[in-house]
Amino acid sequence: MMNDCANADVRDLLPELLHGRLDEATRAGVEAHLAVCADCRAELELLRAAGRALSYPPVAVDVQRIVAALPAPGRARPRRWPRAAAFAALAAGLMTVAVWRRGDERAGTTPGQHVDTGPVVAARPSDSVARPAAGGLVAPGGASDSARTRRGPDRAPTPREDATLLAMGELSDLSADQLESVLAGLDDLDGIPSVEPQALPSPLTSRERLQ
Amino acid sequence: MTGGALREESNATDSALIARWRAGEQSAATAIVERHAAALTRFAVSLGERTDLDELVQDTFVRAFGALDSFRGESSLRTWLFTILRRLALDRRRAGRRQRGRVEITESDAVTEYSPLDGVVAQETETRVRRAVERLTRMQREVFTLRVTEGLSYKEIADVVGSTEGAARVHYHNAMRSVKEFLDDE
Repeated sequence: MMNDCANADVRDLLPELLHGRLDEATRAGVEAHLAVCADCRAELELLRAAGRALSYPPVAVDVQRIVAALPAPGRARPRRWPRAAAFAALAAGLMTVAVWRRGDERAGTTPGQHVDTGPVVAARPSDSVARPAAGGLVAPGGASDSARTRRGPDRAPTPREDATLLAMGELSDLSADQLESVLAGLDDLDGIPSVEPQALPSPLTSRERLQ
Repeated sequence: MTGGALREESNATDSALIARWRAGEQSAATAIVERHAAALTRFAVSLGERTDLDELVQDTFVRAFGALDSFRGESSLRTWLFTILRRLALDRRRAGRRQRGRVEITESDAVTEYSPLDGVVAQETETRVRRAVERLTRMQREVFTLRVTEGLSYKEIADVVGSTEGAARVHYHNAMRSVKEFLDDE
């Protein structure tokens, strides 16, 4: 019967001990514990066996073939510009649509109903004086009454809302620094989820559904 | 290459080898591949890959060397290579291009399925341990393998598997508990 030692700190260090990654003082402490703890000795032996079992000689790797396939030094792919640019264009388009819809909402119209909301900055409720555009429906204060009621009378826009509002424009309107910032953010995107997906609950049988 | 040169290659850090490769030394690339290929192959096996391992490992190196300019050295080169290989393996799985060749490890897998490896792992204890590891969940198996065979820290493992340090620790201890229970029950 293999038991877990109650000293979780030492147990956590056993793989490091196995790989010689402990400093001298820590290693001495762990070894002193091992001298008096049969459970940790058994776990260390298990780790050794697992290391051997999982480190079987791999399928032969043809190093020269791999090296021959590598790009030449200095010809490394610098950046994924085409892909990043596509993402940037998509993001800019989405932001534009979001601001357009928000402008409609503030003006008390449904999306798609054309209303010239004027300069976006003028529609910010935080502005003390709004600058309604000619023909626009923007009420004093930057929003229609109906939109104000839905949003709440005194709520200040969040930084994200501000950023979204101010981000309106074409991709070509961005400065080089802004474009670089957007592209850097896109480069950091990771398609791999950070958590392991949970198993879905088993579906109900037709009989269970009926009950 | 002389014996002295070989020793020099084996002692050089990954960063130094990368710098030399950038300067045009092809032998530095050879040293990097020789240093990490076996570990990458072991990790690929732990991911459930069974066929075209050499192709997967080669693709990993090609991808890595093609993007070395983006390698900031915040993690070790080996950790970065593991991360790339894992993504390639997941892409491969998603695409289903290796559906027939890749063996998803399941509860019913018999150890005889891996007969080419049995001759190497001859001892009874090791065989039982391997069977126990094969029954872990995919994430537990990845974390356990990286921790036990490569000695990666929880932080490094988290970087590879796209998780958090705490989650990696939990996966490792759950894996260890499962292995012990399997060995006790057998």
